[in-house]
Amino acid sequence: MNLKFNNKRITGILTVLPARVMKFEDNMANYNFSESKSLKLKQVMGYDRHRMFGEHVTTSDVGVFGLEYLFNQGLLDKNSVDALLLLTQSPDYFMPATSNVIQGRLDMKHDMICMDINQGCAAFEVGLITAFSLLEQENINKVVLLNADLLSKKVSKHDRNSFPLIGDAASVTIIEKDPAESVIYANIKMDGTRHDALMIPAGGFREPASPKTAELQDDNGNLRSRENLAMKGDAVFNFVQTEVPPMIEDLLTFSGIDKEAVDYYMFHQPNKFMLQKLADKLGIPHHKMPNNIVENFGNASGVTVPTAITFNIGDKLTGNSYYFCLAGFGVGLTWSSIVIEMKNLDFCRMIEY
Amino acid sequence: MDQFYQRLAEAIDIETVNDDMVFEELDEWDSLTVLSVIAMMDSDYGLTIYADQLKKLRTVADLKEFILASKK
Repeated sequence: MNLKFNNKRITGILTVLPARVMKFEDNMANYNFSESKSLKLKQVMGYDRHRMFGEHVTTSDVGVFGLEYLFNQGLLDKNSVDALLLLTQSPDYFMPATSNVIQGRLDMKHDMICMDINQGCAAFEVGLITAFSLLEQENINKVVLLNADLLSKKVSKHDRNSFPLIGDAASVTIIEKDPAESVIYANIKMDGTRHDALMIPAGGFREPASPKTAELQDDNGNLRSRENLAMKGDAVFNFVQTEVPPMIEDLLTFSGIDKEAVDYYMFHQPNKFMLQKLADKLGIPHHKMPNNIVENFGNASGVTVPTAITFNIGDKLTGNSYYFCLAGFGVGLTWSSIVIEMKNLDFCRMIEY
Repeated sequence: MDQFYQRLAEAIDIETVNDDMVFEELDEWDSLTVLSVIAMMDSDYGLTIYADQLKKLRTVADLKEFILASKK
């Protein structure tokens, strides 16, 4: 589905990264594979360091930390926030919504909208699209998009398929009405028939947690329980290589913007291997599509796109203008992309928690 | 198909491959090599193949046959 938004802009991006760093080698003894095989995986996939929050830290803790930082630094006026969107797959509770919890902990005004949306790999794009839609309202002038995922707790340490790449992180993006004339182009697609490609099978209402769902099972040498995140690597790889290139081509055609005119292709970061294949397939030079987030921080689902922006060009974005093609693809399955010009942001930085 | 043997050897990361080679008997064969072959099928032949399908193709000759049959 093609979407078009007039006169909206991103005015700030903050990424909150865990201070705790883990190296690939730190967990290697937990895998049922020889050291040489694991080191080869590390090299091909581009695994190295990844970051995880402490065991008792939750999404609302990290969200409150990021927003308080912006309030205290004078980068965001608490009373100006008309909507708080939280995109997460790791809420504090089944109920109530974690965005309501955050609003309460920060004592924000009542005259606003709080909304949790369950999206992962494409959560930055889905969040932006939702924010742009809310800003169509006369009384909504500023939306805070909070992306947060703390899924490392849900990944088995004995699962070499997922543990080396998982990371935790959060980001706060400010979206406002643009006083200048501007157009943002987007597209989005969903395919729920493939919802089992990436999932946590047990712990919800369909398969409640029990001693049985906590038992580790062997899947080709990888040990994980029904309560752990499970990824079908081959299905995800084929999905990305098949669906993403035509999506990007369609978006560029729809927007009328040349492939070469786009300064940065900031894509979700599953691993270096998959991003290099994507860049080659699309004929995009590798320097325009950074792929260094998994090796430095890990894959924190939807937060990888804002992390790629703040880490790679954060300091440039506060004084320059660039055309971006953003894309997210994965759990759902959901895939979405956006062409947007970003310029002179009020802030674009990373902090640690 | 000129490059098939060379590209497959690169994907599995061994010196050479021949038709009689059985994938499961190779020391190198694991989830990573499976994904490398899946990636090669996509980039070189535009074919989408899943791990379960690949498992049924026992030998290098089986894989070659699969590609030729799919290309028809």
